[in-house]
Amino acid sequence: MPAKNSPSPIFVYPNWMKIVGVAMILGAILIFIYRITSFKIFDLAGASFPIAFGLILIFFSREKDSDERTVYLKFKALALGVPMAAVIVMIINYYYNFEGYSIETDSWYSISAFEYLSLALVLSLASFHYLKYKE
Amino acid sequence: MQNTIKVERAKKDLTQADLAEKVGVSRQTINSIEKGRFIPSTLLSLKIAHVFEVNVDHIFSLEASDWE
Repeated sequence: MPAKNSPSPIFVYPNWMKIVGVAMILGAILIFIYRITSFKIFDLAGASFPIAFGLILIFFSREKDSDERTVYLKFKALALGVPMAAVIVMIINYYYNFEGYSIETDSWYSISAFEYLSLALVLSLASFHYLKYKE
Repeated sequence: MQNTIKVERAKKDLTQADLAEKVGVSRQTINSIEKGRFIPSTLLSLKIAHVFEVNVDHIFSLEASDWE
């Protein structure tokens, strides 16, 4: 008797949530372009929230062929993507956003958390598909 | 860790896809285990051994490098 597929309980979202994620990203891109063309507003930080959320749904949803190797590869992809994104953010901050320390806000200037999350998840997704193909 | 999945498959005349279906994983996962690129969980190891009707240690065995 064929065994039932054993998708990991770690990935709680069903596979169809990937479609919701893609829809959120497309919607965010369309609104981002609309605001640029109509109002000349370049709000990358505002667009990064729905994009980051869409990427979360895509990355943390179950794959169609989900099994323990998929979980292992996704963890490995995160282990590559998160530090890579941190290094890229440091470089971006240094070259394009480097204004040092702000006394008013008592913090260092940096790109937004959602921009970092989007970058980390894009890199993790790319790593996952590369590892899936390679291994 | 080395394994004898390929040999056992040949004995039972099973393809990777057949074994994958029987244990509930993808064919790529069986391929990765066979080539030693992925170490399966205890549950999956037991399922594979069950399909071949042998003990787990007949399929999987430790190598010297596993202790380093």
